[in-house]
Amino acid sequence: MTLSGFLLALGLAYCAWSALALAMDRHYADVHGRGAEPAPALRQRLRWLGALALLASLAVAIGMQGWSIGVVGGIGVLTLAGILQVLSLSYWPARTPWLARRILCALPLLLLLWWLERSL
Amino acid sequence: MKEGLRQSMAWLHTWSGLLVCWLLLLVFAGGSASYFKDEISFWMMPELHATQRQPVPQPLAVERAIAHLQQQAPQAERWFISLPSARSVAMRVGWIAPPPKDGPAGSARSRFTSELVDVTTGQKMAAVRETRGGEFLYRLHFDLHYMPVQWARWIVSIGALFMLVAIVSGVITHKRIFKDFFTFRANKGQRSWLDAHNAAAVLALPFHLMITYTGLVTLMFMIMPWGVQTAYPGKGGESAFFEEVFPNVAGRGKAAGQAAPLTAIGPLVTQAQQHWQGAPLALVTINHPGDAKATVVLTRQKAATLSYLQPALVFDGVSGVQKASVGEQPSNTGVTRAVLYGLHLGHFADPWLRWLFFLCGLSGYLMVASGALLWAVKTRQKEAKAIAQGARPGWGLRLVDALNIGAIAGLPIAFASYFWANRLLPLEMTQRPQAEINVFFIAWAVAAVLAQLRPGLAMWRVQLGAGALLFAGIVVLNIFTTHSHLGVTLLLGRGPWPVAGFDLTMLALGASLWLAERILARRQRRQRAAAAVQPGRQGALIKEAA
Repeated sequence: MTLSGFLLALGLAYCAWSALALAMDRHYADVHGRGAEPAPALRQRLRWLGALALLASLAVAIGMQGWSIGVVGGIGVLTLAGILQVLSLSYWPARTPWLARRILCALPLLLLLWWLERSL
Repeated sequence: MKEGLRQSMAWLHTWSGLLVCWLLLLVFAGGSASYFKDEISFWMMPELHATQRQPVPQPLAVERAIAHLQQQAPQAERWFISLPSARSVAMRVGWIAPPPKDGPAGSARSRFTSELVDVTTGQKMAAVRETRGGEFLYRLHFDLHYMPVQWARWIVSIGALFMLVAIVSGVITHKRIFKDFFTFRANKGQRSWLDAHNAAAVLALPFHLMITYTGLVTLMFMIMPWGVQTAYPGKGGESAFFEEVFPNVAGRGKAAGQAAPLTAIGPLVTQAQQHWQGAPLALVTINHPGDAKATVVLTRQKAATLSYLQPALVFDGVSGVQKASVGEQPSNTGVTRAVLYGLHLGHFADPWLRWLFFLCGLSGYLMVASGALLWAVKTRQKEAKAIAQGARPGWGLRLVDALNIGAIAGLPIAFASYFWANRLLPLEMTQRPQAEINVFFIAWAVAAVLAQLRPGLAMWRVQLGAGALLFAGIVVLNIFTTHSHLGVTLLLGRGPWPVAGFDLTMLALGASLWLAERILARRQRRQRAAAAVQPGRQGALIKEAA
C-alpha cells in the first residue's frame, strides 16, 4: 500500500460507514435531534451511496495489492474506518456528517494523487 | 436446551469466554507484538542502530558465515544461517550442538546456540547486547515460558478452542448485530461495557474469526495427528511426512559417521538465485556439516503471497550436486493450509497492512478485556442488594476482579518492564536474555499479587498509571541509554525509522493507559461526592470498578 492509496481507501470506507449509519433511525436521531427520521428517498440514497463507497474502498485495496492480499488489506481498512466511525458517532455526533462531507471533498484529490503514483 | 437457543448460547458464551479470558489476554498481547517481532528485536539491540551497512552479495555473506561456523561449531549436527532482509538488518548464524556422550540427549532446542555475525567481516558482533528481543514475545504467544513446549501448546490450543466457541456463540447471542453496528453509548455503566465489547468484537470480527481458526491450524498436527498417523504408519511416520511436505526440514537424513569436506556453498547460493530469477535467499541450512552424508538446503526469501511456505533446493553437501527441489509445485491441499497459516503469521504484510493487523490484535485485547469486565459488572449488580446491606462481595466476584486487574492492567506493566530491563541491565551480565525475561514475569507477578490483595478502583488506578508511566518513560529512558532516541531519529530525521516507530508506539500506549486512569479518577471523584451527599449510603460504591 502507499500513503495516498491507503488514505483513499480509508476515506471511502469512512464515508461509506457514515452514509450507512445515517440511513438508520437511531443514528440519524443522534445527529439531528430526538425523533428525527430520514426521509424515505434520502434513506434509499444513503444506502446506495454507502454500498457503492464500500465496494470502491475494497476496489482501491485490491487495485493496490491484487486479489489475495488486497482483500485482506481491504477488510482491515473497513475495520479501522468502522472504529473511527463509531468513535465519532458517539463523541461528536453533530460533527459526523460535516466530517464525512469534508472527507468526500478530499477524495478526488487523493484519487488523483494515487493515480499519479501508479502511473509514474 | 430448556430455555431456547439464544439463552443457552448466552450461557455458553459467558463461560467459554470467562474461563480462558486471562490466558487469551496474554496470547493477544504477545501475538499483536509478534507482528513487529523483527522491529522489536532491532530496537532491543541499540548497538545496531548507528551502523550504515553496505549490502554484501549473498554468496559472499554465506561463505563468511560458513567460515565462522567452521571455527565455532565444527562438530555441530546442523548449521543455520538466516540472511539479512528488508526487515532484519543482521545476519544470524545458529547451530545445534551434538548430544553429550554421557547423559541424556535433550531436545534439539536445548542444544541450540545462535549469534549475530557481521556480514562485512564474518566475525561475531561481540559489541551487540545479548537479548531474545521480539523472539521471546513471539514464543510467549504459543510456547508460554517456564514449562515444556508441548504442555504450553496444549494449553494455548485449548484456549483457542474455547475462543472459537465464544466467537460463534457470541455471534448467535448478539441478536442485534446490524442494528447495533455503529452503537456505542458512553458513561452508561453496564450498557457501555456491553457496547464496547460488541464494537470491539463486531468491527474486527473478520480478523478475530480468522486469527482464532488459523491459530488452531498452526497447531493442527499436534491437535489432530490421526490423519498423518494413519497415512504414514510405522515408527517415525510423522517425521517422514514432515520431510515430504515441508521444505525447511528436507534432507535431514542420518549422518554416515565418515568425515568428508563440505563443498563450497557460495556457488550453490549463486545457482539457487539464478534458479529463482534473482530472488534472494532467506535461510541456509546445513545438515551434518563435515560428514559424508551432509546436505545443504537453501530456502528462498518470502514472495508477496498469502502462503507462508517458500520453495527450497536441496544439495549434496560433499559433491554440491542438486538432489531435489521442495515446495516448487505444492498440492492444492498444501497451499490451502499454507495460506491459512500464512494469514495468521502475516509475513506477506507491508507496513500498512502490518499496522492494521496490529490494531486488530489490540482490538482483540480490548474485546476480551471488556468481556471479562462485563461479567464482573453484571455479577456485582446481582449482588448489589447484599453489598449495600454491608455484605462482602462473593469470592467468585472478588477473584475475577483481581484477575482482571492483574491481567488487563498488569500485562502492560510486564511488557514495558521487559523493555526497561533491556536498557538497564548490565551489558556484561551472564544469562542476560533470561534475566530480561525474568523481569517480565517478576513485574507481572507483583502486579497480579497486589491485585489479589486489594482488588478495587484504587488498584485499577495504580496499575493503569504505572503502565502509563512505564510505557511513556521508555522514550525518556532512551535519551539516557542510547544514541537513537526520538530526538535523533525523529527531530533530526536520521532514523532508523523502525526505532522511531517503536518509541512513538510506546508513547501512544502510555497515553491510552493514562487516559483510562483519568477516566477512573473522575468516576472515583463522582462516587465520593455522591457518598458524601448521602452519608451512610454505600449504594454508590457498589458501582466501583464497574
